Amino acid sequence: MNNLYRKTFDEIHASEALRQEVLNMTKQERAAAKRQIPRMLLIAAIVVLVLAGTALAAAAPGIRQWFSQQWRAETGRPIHTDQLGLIDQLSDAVGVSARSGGVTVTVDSVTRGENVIWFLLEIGGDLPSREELESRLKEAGELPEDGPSSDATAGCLFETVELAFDPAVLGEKSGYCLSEEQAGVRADGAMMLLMEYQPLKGNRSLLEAAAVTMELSGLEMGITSCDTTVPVPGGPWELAFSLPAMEPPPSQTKAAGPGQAPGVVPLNRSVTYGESLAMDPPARETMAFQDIRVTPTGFTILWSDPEQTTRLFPPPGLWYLVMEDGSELRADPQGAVYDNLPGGQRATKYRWPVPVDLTRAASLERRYKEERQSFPLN
Amino acid sequence: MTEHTFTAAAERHLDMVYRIALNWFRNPADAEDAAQTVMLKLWQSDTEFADSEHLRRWLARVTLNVCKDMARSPWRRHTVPLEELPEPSFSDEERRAVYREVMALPGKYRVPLYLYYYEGYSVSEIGELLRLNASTVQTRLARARGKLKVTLTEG
Repeated sequence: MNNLYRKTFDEIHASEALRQEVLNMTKQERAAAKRQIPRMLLIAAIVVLVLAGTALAAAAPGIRQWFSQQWRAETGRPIHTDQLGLIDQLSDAVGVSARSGGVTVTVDSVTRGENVIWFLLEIGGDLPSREELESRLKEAGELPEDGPSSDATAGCLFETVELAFDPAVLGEKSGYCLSEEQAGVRADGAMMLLMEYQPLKGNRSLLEAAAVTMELSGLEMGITSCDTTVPVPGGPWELAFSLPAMEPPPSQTKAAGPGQAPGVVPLNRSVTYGESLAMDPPARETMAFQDIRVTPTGFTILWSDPEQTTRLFPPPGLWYLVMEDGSELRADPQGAVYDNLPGGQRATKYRWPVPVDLTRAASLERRYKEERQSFPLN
Repeated sequence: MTEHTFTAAAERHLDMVYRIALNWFRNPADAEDAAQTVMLKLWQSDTEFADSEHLRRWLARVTLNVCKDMARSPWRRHTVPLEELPEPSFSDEERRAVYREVMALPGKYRVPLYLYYYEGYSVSEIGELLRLNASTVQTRLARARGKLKVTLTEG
C-alpha cells in the first residue's frame, strides 16, 4: 500500500468530542439514545430530491411548482399564494436555447435573491429513453439485481458548468457553490433540471443587471435510484442572456439595540483556522453581532469584531425561520464562510431553500444542542 | 452488545468510520454526524458478530449506508470549493498536500480509494460494500490513480 497515502490518513482521527459522545451512548437507554448533535445539511456531498416522476411529468413543472414542492418538503405545509406571488416577482422568463448533438438545452427561467440564483433548465431532443437507459445500465452491470425502484425517474446532470456574469459577481479569491437538482420529466420526455448558484464572498448583488453566459458540457443521464450515469453525446451548450436589474424585495434587520444584550452567539469550541477541530478541552467564547438582516432568500449576520472571525469558525448550530403558522424553514448552513465587506467588516450569509414571504415570518431562531436563541420578526 | 464490547469496538473502529464518512462528505462536521449515527446503530444493534473482521465489515457497510442516506442520493450535485471546507491538521505539508489532492477527487473515487489503500479491502469486497461490479471498482481506482499526482503503487 502506498506509504504516503496511509501516513496521511493515519493523522486523521475522530475528534475527542465525538469520541466522548460515542462512549457516553452506553449510559443511555438503548431505545431512548437520541442524537445530541443535530444533523447538518450537507455542503460537500451529493444529495438528491427525487420528485414523484409520473405525476410531475404530466404537470410540466415550472419554477413555481418546483418551489411549491420544495416548500412542502421542507415545512410539511402547502405554499401560500402570496409566497407564489413573491416568487413570481423574483423570477424572469428567459427562453434561450442551444442545440448540439441533437439535444437542446433551454434556460426556461431564472429566480434571484441577493446571494443566490436559480436557473430552471429544460433538456430535450435525442435523449435515451427510459428503456434504453435501463438496458445500458444493465449491460454495464450497474443496475441493481432487483431493477430500479418503481418511483425512480430518469435524471440528468452536467459534468461541467461554467457560469460567468458581467459585471462579475466573484471577487478575487472567491468561489461559488453550484447545485444541480432533478426537477422532473415532462410528458414529452424533456428533463427539467434546477441549477442553483451561490457566490461565496461575492462582491455584488445578483439582483443587479448582468449579462450571463453559461457553458454546459458532459451531459449524463441515468435512473435516479442508481448512482451510475451514462454519457449523452453532444455539447458544449453555450447560452447567453441578460438579466435586468430587480428591485430588492423588503427585508428586515434585527439590530443589537440598547437595553438588549449584544447579539451573543455562544461558541462551543474555540478553534483556529488550520488547526484540528479536535481541540480539547473545548473552550467557550462568545461572538457578538452588530445586526442580522433577513431577506426573502436568506439572512446575513454582521459581526461586531472582525478579529474574532479570523480565529473562529462561525458558531455551530442550525438556523430556522419560524412562520406564524408554526411551520419552520431550515436555512442552508452554507454560511460556514466569512464574507469580507467594505470597511473591514465581516459577515456570514445563509440561504433559505425557497424564497419566503417575510410578512408571514414570526422569528429567526438558532438551535444548537440545548441552546436556543430567538430573534422575533415583524 | 455489552457495554464492554461496544466500548472496545468504538475505540478500535471509530476512526475508520469517521474516515470513510470524511472521504464521503469532505466536511468534518458532516463526517462526525454520520459517524455518531453509525455508532448509535451499533449500540442499538442485536447483531451477533462472528469475529472482529465481521464487525469491521458491518461497520464499513453501515457507514456507507448512513452516508448515502444523509446524502439522500447522488442525484443532486452540490459543489463547494475545497478551500472553503475545514481540514484536519497534519504534521507536514506533504501530507496536507496529499489530503487536499485526495479530497479534490470526485466522491465516487475517494471512497473506493480509501477502502482499498487504507483499509485493505479487495476489489471484490469493495464492490460488495458499494454495490458495484468489481470491474467498476477497478475502473474507479485506476481513474483515481490517474488523477492523483501522488503515485499510489501496489504492494
